[in-house]
Amino acid sequence: MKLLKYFIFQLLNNKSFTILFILNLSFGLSSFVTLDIFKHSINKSIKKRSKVFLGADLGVSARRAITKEESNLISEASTEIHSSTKLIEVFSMVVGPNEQSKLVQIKAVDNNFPFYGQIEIKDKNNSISNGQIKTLNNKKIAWLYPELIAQLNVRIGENIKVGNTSFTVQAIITNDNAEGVSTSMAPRLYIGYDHIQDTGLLQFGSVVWYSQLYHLPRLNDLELNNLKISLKKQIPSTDLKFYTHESVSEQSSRLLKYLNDFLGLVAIAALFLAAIGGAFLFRSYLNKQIHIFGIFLSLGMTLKSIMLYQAVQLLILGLIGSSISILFGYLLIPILNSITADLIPFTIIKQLEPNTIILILLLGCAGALLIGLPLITQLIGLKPNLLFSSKTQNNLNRNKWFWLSLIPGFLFLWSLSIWQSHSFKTGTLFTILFLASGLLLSILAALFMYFISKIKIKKYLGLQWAIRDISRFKITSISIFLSIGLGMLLLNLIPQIKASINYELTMPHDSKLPSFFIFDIQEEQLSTLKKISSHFDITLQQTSPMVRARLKTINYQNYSELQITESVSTREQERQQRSRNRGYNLSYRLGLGTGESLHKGKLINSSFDENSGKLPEISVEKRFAARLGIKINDVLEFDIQGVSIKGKIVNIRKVKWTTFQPNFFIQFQPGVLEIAPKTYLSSVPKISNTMKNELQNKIVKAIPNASIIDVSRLVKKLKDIIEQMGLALQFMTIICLIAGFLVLFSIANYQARQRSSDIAILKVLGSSFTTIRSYFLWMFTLLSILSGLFGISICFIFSYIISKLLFDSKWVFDIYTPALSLIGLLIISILITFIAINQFLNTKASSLLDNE
Amino acid sequence: MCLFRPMRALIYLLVLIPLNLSANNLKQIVFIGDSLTEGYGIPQEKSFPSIISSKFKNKKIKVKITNAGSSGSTSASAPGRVKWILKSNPNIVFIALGGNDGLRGINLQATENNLQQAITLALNRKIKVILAGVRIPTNYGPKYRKQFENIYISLAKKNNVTFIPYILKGVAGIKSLNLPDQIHPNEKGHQVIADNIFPIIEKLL
Repeated sequence: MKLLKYFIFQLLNNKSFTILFILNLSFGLSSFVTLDIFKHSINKSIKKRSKVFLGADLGVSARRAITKEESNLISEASTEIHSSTKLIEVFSMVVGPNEQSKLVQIKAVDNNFPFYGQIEIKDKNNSISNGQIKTLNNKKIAWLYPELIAQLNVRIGENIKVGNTSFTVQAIITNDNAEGVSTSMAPRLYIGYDHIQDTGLLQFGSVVWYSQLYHLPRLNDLELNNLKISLKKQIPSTDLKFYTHESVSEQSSRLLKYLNDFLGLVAIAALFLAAIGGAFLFRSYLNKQIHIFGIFLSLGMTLKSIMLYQAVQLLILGLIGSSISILFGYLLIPILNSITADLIPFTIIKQLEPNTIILILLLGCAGALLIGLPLITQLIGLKPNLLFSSKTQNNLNRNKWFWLSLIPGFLFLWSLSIWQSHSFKTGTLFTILFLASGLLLSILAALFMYFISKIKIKKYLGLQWAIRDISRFKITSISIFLSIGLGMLLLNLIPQIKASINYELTMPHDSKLPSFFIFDIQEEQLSTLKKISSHFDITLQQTSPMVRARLKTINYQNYSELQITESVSTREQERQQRSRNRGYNLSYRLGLGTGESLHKGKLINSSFDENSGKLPEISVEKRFAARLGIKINDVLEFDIQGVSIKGKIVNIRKVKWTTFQPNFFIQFQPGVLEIAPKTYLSSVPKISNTMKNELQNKIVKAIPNASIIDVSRLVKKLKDIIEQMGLALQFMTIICLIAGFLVLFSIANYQARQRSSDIAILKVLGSSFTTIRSYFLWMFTLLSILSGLFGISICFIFSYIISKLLFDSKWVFDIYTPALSLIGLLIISILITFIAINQFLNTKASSLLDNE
Repeated sequence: MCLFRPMRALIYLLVLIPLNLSANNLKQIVFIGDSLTEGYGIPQEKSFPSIISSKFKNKKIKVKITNAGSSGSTSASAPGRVKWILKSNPNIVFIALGGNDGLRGINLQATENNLQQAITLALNRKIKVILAGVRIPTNYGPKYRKQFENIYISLAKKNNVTFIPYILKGVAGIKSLNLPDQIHPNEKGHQVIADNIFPIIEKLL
């Protein structure tokens, strides 16, 4: 009880420290809580989306009927399976009422389909509703994708022939949530599972996909994945393919990875910011308390007890800070829900996740303790005679315990970084970069103080004192420098990385996004295609020649021999090896295409000169080069239908996939492949649906071999996801910026208050208010701006490394945030110093000294 | 500039083409096809043209086999590809194209016209043609399947060329002879194809 009284007394007696420490911790942790709320909300939203893509949690497919034994084994594998649904997918020529036929992807579904999402249909009265699958199974009816209406020349209510059976077109599909993020070579048609047998399409020699989908709402992704793995082991049939909703939408997962990694970094940045603020405040507090510790020691209290008390005090502060953050989180959820309802395209989670609460409590208590531990160890060796030392003197000593006590804190931050970023690489890199930045900032601060001590200014007394005191009070100056520098680094880091990710995610203007791709255009058909497109006033995009070739040798070594030397341990590796036996599509052009950038080497900017005595030049896509293990100056030999062509890699190029333009892994120098047998592919920019149907029909009529893949639905779907993520990134960055400014505010405020004794002395000595004010303003402004500038400069290096190493993205220089944050820092420094100084200037000098 | 570029490329490529094959009495057979001929999903040396090459080697018959299979190709590419391989003066052109036309639901008349053009180009140069019939899965509907099958029968009759009614005879629909996609033959499947067609090629050679 006495102990509790002591702690309450201590905390109340140091109100400003207590309040600021708790506030600082709460702000840091609250931003962490907010980010966690968003992270969970986005994760949930995207997972839900990927479940909608599949229509279920788990699925199994085969090119043959799934046997009853296999079905039983799957059902018995988990007690969590709520229900299952069967579906059959098959391609067939469907015939319209006027004998017009069209290749269609038929999807036969049973009544349970889908568990997530729905199929939105429009009936003959043009009323839109969620389609009831039961109706498909009750009668022989079909729902069609809209393009089939024109292609089969059919109207709602009329019959179409699927295999041997007639089906009545009941509705047009307006939104197929279960479409998936994939392209299909034909538009889709839904019929009931019960009627697919009647069509006669399922017989020997048919190529059919049989699937069973499962509803396991209570299993998380990890459990689903484990179930998938265990099912693969239990049913080792090679022709059965198991998948979870996550593995279905690869593009979505790729984007999710980007976002998750980024959010992990934002959370770490917010946490590091809180740690800096906390450490800084506690250090100042200990310095202030050192004389009281001297009295305790004189009265017979052991140093061990003093240190223990400080640790317990930190734990209490941590507990209060984290509890406030958790309360704040609970208050925040309904507020965020109402504020963001129209701003962000996902729903905020209903309550804090249990692991978030544990995390915050752990961070608050253990974090506060670990941040304070190195400072507490500096009390070792403290003697009662310190009572006779100056109050302004720094009595904290950095002994070996100080350095040793940094280790648990470092390990804690490191493991937390790994946990939050879900990646050892990301967490480790972030921690190393952060520590390296601290070291660099300290060196820069020392250098700055050395140079500033050489400057002699006589005219402005305030500036003269400020420069003198910056170099005189080295520890204080370095502390401010470090805290503001690191604060500014973290504050700017997130927007800087965001700019790089945004660049990767930015999509071209709608008008440049493709509606459909056209493949297999023969050379002599190109002019016909151009004529048709110009008739519709459309310019074809990136029309590229495509030459099919087989890779024979790499650096004059037989490619098949190269493969034999590699060991294959998994089925995936085997598949990868097999893919190497496939041919490759080559193309040729000068320079770079849309969405391409040079990664390494030199651009191909001239045609091949056979008299040069050199090999033709080759450009290779970055990921492809990594997969094949090829690099610049490697010689590749291809076989083009019996003819060998060699070329030398002169550059590695990066392809920005969000442009959705056709790109090739291997590009040759023009002047080599022109007369080889080739086809062309092209893309048609965004056009209206009516025009799309007309254009498609014209192309199919004039160039029947041309294969047209409608990518507009896919592009729209991906565009929606990308835009949603862009908004989320924006929102998170703003939150991190606010948190960063709050930490900077508390540091600057505390610093200004710490100087109250100096103000008193200056007042006693008769300095004018203007001189005192200018002295403080100069000092804090100089320190803030310089440390801010250094912090931002290091941030550029930091963000460059992160963008390159973690996100593999182009580093984009964002000048607005650094400029804005520097102005913000300047305003905060001046404002806080001004307010604090004015407050102290209006207080009697004796009161100020008494307080000390 | 634009006119010169293809010319230069032509010269460059012609240097590489073994024009003197016939002078050495070395027979040459070119297989023009799609993924089936290319050997999709299996090592190239296990594809049926390579197996046929080995069979000739075992019989000590000097034959150069060129696998000009190209995954995803349709019959539309046939005339252009035949023009290309004619430069190497082959003795036999083996055409196994059209499967992708069928799978994509391409107009049957267009497929027939393309194959006809390719056959005419070869025959005009006194090159023997083997036409391999391709069928499409039963799920495409009986009417379409029949019409598709008839293209090959009619072309073979009209041009009086050696005809293999169904290249995947004894392979299609047999799980153990196909890759998991049940469309492309595996290594064993390619062996069956080679065993089936080798006597026909040997006889013609």
